[in-house]
Amino acid sequence: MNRNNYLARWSQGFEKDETIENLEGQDALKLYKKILKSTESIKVDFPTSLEWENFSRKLPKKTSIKKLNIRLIWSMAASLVLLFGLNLYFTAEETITAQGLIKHIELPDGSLAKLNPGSSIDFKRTFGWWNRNINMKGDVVFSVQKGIPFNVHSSEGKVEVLGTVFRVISFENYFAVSCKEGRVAVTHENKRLGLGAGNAYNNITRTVTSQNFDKFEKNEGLYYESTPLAYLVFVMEQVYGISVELFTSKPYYFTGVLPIKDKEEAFQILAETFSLQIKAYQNGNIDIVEP
Amino acid sequence: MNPTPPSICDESHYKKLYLEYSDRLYRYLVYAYGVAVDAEDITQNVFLKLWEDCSRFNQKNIKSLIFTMGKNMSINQIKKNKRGEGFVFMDKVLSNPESQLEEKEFHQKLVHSIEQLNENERLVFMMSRLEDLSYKEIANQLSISQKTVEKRMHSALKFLHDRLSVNLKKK
Repeated sequence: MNRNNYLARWSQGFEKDETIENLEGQDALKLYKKILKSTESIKVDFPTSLEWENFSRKLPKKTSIKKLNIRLIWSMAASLVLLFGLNLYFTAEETITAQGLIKHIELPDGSLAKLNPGSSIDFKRTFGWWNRNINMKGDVVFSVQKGIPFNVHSSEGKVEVLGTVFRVISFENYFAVSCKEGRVAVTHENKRLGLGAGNAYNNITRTVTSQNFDKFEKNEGLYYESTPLAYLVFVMEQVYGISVELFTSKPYYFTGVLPIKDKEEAFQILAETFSLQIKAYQNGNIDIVEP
Repeated sequence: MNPTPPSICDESHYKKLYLEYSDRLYRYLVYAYGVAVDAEDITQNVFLKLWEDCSRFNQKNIKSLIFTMGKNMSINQIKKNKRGEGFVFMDKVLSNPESQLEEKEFHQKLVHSIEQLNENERLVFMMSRLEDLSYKEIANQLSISQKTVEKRMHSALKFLHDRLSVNLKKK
């Protein structure tokens, strides 16, 4: 008999009552029995709030779903970032501007663009993948590689080509296209017309005329045909970095070569062509006025 | 090759764990700490924590983890509330309302005496008498040997006998 556990063994039925009676006496046995009996009426109520039906309502959304959601959210976020990135890539535009100088650009498809002063072009990074769309302002000469249609968009009109060399001037209601090689289709004010090599069109004369490209390419200047003086003033401002004010009562259209390396000569040509006066200021700015 | 145990994050498995252990934890907290802690609140918090961080817990030691969390939360609550002085069941332990007056008086004295037991003995006594658990089951639940359980039960009965016999003699 272990002196340290006989009561424990008895309470579980492993020892007889006599054992306890012999060890502790009859009264003690009675009291032990009373203790055990009385504990039978003790109970600890389990709170209803802890019953599963009530407790489970307090549980946050399933953790495993949360994990899945996190994974899903991450993958969605990654997809969005990817889509956003691709969208950015596909819609990103390259813009090239020729401030005061002539700028020669090679386009992604190998075509060339000569931007005359004050001109700019812009095109999507995907230029040449499935289309060749390009936006332009000012005066740009394109030398287009053969391939998928090459479309020039400007505020004044549109030019479509396959492979050719042509020039487009688009500036404040003035639109001129001249084709040196190949053939281009010009759309202006919802009218479409074709220009062959050596042909030119502008919205002033509204007729197709012949143009000799050799003439202006040999000269150190820009050749214009029926081009508004206002546009030439803009070009001069760009080339020489000056402010030119035009005080005229009517529009003037210039045809000829305008030097871009000699300011005085250029303005002299303009003044003589239209019998206008040139007022030059000390800061370099110029007024063009009628006499 | 042993099959992978179900994850605690699995709702049906979590429910099984809850049904198996929430009642035991609650009673354990009542027996061990009485009114010194809010056993209901702690039981809820243990199982909420288990759910929220289910992926962190090892399924193998889940029982030990549940009781350890319960004990730690209780100790923190006691420290925070500074309610360490003495142990009382108060209304947590109910007696049979149909008992005779003498029985009621004895019962009250018994409950008061049980409150005087030290924590280890009280736990074993309550688990044995109220939960009707075998000593082996108690040993398993408290992570102690069966011999220790028997020794504590023996001491508890001795203590209660001595306390109550003095009271009865006074009467």
